[in-house]
Amino acid sequence: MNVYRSQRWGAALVMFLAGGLVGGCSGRKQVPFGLQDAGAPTELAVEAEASAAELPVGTAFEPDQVEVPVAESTLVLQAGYALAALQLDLDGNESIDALVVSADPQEVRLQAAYPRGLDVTARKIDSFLVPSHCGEPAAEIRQLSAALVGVRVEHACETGKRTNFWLITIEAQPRIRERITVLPPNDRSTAAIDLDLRVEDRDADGYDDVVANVRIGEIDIPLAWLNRPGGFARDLSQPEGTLRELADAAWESLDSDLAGAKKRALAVVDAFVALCRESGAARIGLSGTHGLQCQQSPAAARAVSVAIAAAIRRGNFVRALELQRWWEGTAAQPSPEERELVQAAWRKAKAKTTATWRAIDSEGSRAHLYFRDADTLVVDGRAPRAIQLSSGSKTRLSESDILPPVRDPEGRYAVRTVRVTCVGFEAEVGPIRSKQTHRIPIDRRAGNVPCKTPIDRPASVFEWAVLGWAPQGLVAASGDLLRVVPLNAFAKPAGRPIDLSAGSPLPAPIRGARITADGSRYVIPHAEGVVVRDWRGGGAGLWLRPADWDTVPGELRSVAISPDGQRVAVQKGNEIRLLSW
Amino acid sequence: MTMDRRWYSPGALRCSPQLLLAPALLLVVAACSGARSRPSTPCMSDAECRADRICHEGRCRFVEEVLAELAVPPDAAEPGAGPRSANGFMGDAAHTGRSENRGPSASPSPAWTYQTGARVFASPVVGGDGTVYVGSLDGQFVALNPDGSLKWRYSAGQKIYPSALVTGTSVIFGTHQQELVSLSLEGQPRWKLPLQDLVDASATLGPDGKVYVVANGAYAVDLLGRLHWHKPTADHVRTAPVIHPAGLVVIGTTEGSLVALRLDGSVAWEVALGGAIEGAASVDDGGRIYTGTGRGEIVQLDQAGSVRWRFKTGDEVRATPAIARDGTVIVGSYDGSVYAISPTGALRWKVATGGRVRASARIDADGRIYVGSQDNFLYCIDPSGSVLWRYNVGQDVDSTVEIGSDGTLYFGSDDGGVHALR
Repeated sequence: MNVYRSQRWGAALVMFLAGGLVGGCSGRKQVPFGLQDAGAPTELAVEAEASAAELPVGTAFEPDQVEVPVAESTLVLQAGYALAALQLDLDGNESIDALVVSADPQEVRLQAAYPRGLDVTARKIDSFLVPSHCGEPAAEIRQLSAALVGVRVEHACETGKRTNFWLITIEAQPRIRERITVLPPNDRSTAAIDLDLRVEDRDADGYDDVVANVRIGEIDIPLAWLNRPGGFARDLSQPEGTLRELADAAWESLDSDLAGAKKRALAVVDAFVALCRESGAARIGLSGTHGLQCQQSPAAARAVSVAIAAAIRRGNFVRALELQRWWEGTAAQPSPEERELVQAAWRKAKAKTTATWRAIDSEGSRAHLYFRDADTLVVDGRAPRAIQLSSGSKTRLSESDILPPVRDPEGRYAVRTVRVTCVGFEAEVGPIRSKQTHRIPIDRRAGNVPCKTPIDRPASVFEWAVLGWAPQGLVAASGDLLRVVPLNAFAKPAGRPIDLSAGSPLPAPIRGARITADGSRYVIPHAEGVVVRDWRGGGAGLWLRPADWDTVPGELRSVAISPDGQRVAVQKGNEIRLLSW
Repeated sequence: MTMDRRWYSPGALRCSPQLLLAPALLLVVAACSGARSRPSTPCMSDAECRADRICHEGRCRFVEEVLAELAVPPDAAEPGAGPRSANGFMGDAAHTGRSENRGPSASPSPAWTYQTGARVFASPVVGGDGTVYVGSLDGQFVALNPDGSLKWRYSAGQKIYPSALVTGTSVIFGTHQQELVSLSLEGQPRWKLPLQDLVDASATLGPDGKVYVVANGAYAVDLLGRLHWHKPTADHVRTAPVIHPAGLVVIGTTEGSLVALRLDGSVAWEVALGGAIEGAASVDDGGRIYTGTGRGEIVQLDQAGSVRWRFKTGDEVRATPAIARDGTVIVGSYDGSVYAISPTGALRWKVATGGRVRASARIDADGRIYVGSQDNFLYCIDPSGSVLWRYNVGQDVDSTVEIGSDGTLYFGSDDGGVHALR
């Protein structure tokens, strides 16, 4: 029974393939995305070449125009006013029809208009809503090829320029093949973006493909839609292909042209952020989706590693840390070669030459360090103790003498840790004398990318850390970002987090091991050294790496800054040392 | 679930026989011992708790219980009953500018200066314990000890123009973050109410215990941060609401209208005065309303909104008219003079300064007038119009002076300083 069925399917398959072969040899052209056959491909190509120069451009209207001429008749708009119209024969009956773009304050519409005797019949093709903070739009409509029309509608909005594009087929009932939106700048993507639609045969198959040339800053990225049987297929080699070329060029020029390499690398990063959904701040939308799916971009990872290395070499350590945090994200996984480039840059970084350190104690397990006052360091480890720095004397502490360094002004709650979960980065907070905790969101996951598997891990040093607790709430840092997470008297969220620009006043007083009480300085641990950031002095970072850093084995496990911001205690491996400069 | 209810029930001893099972026996004994007298459901967040309970240490608890355990005064977290008096811009809800304290009659000396990072436009406000509260255009709001040291600092992230409203347990102010913020006197956020526009003017406490504030219209908010009503206006409003004893909230608009709203948000009257109203109105002891306009006029209206008289100055009037105890209206103008006008609209005297007068005047217990000018000086004028002294601040003084209980004068200036003179 099964054999018989297989034979029947096999025969059907052979007949189908044979039919396809006969069809393919008949000289009929591949039907572009469901259009009616327009003749042999060679004829079409010749026709397209001949007419490319004189492809018609639509007429733009003043904002009060409600009547649109279509051949000998007039379309009277039922709502809104006309922005632009293009006269062309849509249905192939040799009479002139039109594509009309119109708008009202809420919506922009695209219609096809057909003269029927003295009347004109209009049919809506598509529309999009306009944000309330945008002004009057301007539209441009032009024929791109024998089969395609492009429409560009631009709004000046409070946040910047917002542009929508329609790609439309020329046929009796025109269809939208692609909708592209270019959004205004946002907090993370400020580069200028321009987009231009054109038609060309990208894959040399004799059919017109569509190319949207996206210019982001100084980079041109050709996003292509290839004309395939059944419709357009986006060329998935872009934007990665272009970004990779540029990232490689930046990589190659790192030693010969540091400034140029950094500029190129940052341009790639900017382009990745603006284009790719994984960045969480994409400004390009295709057919309603937000950003292109770029997955883990090796080009972005390479560009970021070049930018980090360049920032370190130029002494901009805080910027380097910020980039490294980005690099550690899921969107850009660096290769071992790229990691090594960055690590080497940190090792060779120009550290404060006067930085010295001395051993003051040892501790086998990980200890929490904090300064009780300028001369007393508390080591909260296996055997909690206080070390008098001036004399070196040590005093054993009982459990009740130990207080968590990051605690609220009343001393009721403390921050236990920062965790990475599906929500994002969360501080685990709880009453000081209790094991109960609740979580406070510090930074929510970007975009709407679903969390495929549950995550719950401690944050790394390159991610978010809670530096301290001020009356206003938690002071959290990540790279060069500093954020206040407002909390009420019950240690519950009390409003949106506030990002502070460098140098702007921090809430005070702050309780925490890694920041001074007035918020003027805080310390950022790093595998290759320590960065002390002078917030009041504009946010510059000081790279501290004593010459014999590598002679002390082990990783950096804990850091604390003195109340005057002049000394840093570190636990590296099993040694507790005091850094001064 | 049933188990939980019984376990926490005060009558748990009369529970069903199943509960006498061995594994539960200890729990039942513990429950019946009176160790817990209220039901408290396990929880992970406040949203899981019914009624007005919060999730505290993994259990749904009533706020009063938690506060009692934490030894926080109940009114600190539940100020809903609300104080009926507060200190704020121009001292009181009528904006008379009068203070019960006595400022210096002779030339004062600087006591201290606290430096912020940008202009201090707001008037410092002194709390009951002598703490000085003031915001700056660099986005910080500070609480300063009477000796000028920092008590705490709040970072708003955006400019703070308005003066604070200090009630019994809260400090309330608006920011350019488009929100009204309420902090405890220790600087901890109590609540934040998002508004639909920037807040440029100080909030005022009404007789009904509600806070009135303006942005894109007037808002009435209770002391728990709940919005009661919003009356939108055609454009942004920059004048602090003044409370009229007849139960009116009076605001001026940038289109030149003075609008009186009832305490329920309905409009009692609206009168077009011509010229933008950039400074708050004030109300004298007889219920007469005073405001300045962009046409340089000081206008007196009765409580029905009828204009009684207009007094013309040489330029815009953006300051709030202060009202002396004898009814004299004291107000500065952009023409550089400080005017004293009788309640009938006659000029009593005027004092010329060297710059525009944007700041409002304050009047101490002895009737002395303190007002800053954009000529960099702070002036002290006696009730008859004689300048007693002037102090060179070195920068424009647009901030209205606050008079401390010990006679210290507090004010801000364009160099970002919060100054104390005594």
